[in-house]
Amino acid sequence: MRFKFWIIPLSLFLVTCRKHEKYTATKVLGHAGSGLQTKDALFHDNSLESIQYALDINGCEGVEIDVQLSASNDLWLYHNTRLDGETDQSGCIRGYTTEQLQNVKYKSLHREKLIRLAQLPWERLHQKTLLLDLRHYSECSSELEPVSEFIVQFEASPELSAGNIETILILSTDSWVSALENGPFELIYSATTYAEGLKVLTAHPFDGLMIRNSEITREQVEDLHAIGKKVIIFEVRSAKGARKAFRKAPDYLVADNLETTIIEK
Amino acid sequence: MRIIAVICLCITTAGWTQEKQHPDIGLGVRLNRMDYFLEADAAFTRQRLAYTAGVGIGIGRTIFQTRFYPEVRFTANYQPIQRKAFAFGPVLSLGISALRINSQSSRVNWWQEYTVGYGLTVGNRLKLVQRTEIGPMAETYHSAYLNRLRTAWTWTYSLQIGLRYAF
Repeated sequence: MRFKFWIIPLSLFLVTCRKHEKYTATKVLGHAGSGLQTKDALFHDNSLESIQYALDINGCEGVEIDVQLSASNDLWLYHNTRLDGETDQSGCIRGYTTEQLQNVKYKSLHREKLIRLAQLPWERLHQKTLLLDLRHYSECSSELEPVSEFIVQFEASPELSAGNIETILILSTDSWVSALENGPFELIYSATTYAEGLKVLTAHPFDGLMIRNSEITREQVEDLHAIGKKVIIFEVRSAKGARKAFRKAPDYLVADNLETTIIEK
Repeated sequence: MRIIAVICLCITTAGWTQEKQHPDIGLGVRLNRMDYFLEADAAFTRQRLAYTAGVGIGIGRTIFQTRFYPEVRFTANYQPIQRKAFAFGPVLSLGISALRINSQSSRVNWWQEYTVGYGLTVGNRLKLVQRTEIGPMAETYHSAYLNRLRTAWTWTYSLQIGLRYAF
């Protein structure tokens, strides 16, 4: 009898508990589609399937993707510096032409193909946010990539600046700022630490900072907002991590576990 | 795959009406690629076949994220090795779970698991049960863009441990 008495309040507790905190000001974006190097992800990061899946989820407000130049000077979506291990090829994206990269597949369950920036699902991205993480350095050639080629590729994709998609460029170098600052896109600096990021923001006309969840506090986010800078937080994998990140009130949260993060929102 | 689902369902329910007996009642914890589940189940044993029907909730989603994540699970366990207090054999399971991701939407994501593996039971009246299974899993979700249901396949695993009492 005593046991039965506890069943009712326990069930009510489990089912009817509601969070009072709402984080409507923060946009939830998928990291490299629907999660970067996540064991629970259905599709490989930066694949068309992963991006489509993320944009299909009710509550996902955009995606972050990584872009690199190929030998044909077009932009391909790929995260790592080398193809080895992740795909059925070796070397760098820079070492392959468009024709060669068209046949490269990830070593994942669905064997997704690598895709070009031009192959993004533009219709699905309408009224969403697209973060383009520009890979400015080629490990294979040990050289800084020419920013002019990136600009040519952006101009070849008019969807980026048509106004239907909020496009933001992520840079981990300050050497490209002068070439991109007068373009149509906001520029965000990808910082390793808050101190380093603040130093770069002070010296260069970036619009904000992208930083790991563990590297920034709520007060630091407020400080950046106070000087008119945006904040993007990434490396959010768990429910606890998402809750912590939301409480810092960033402008964007780049999530590796989209479903968990949307539930927290 | 639907045929497999029907076969799983038939196997797991076929013996229920063929022999009148008290079921074993069990409580356990199961880990799959989505969550930890707290499960309660009832097992009916007929000769070398044990059929289990259970319900559970995803602990992470339900308790720590306050989003109700229920599941139902049917299992057939063939036990070619049966000793006095020990049984071992292959397991076939069908599990279905549902979760609402976005609180602003009434749409629900569904996961169907079709897994095979082994089941181990130790004990007489009070039994320790352990199952390890792998198999395909389908996620069915509503595409906000296409405004229709879509299904994506992946692999999953299931590690379960629990206690069962025989009346």
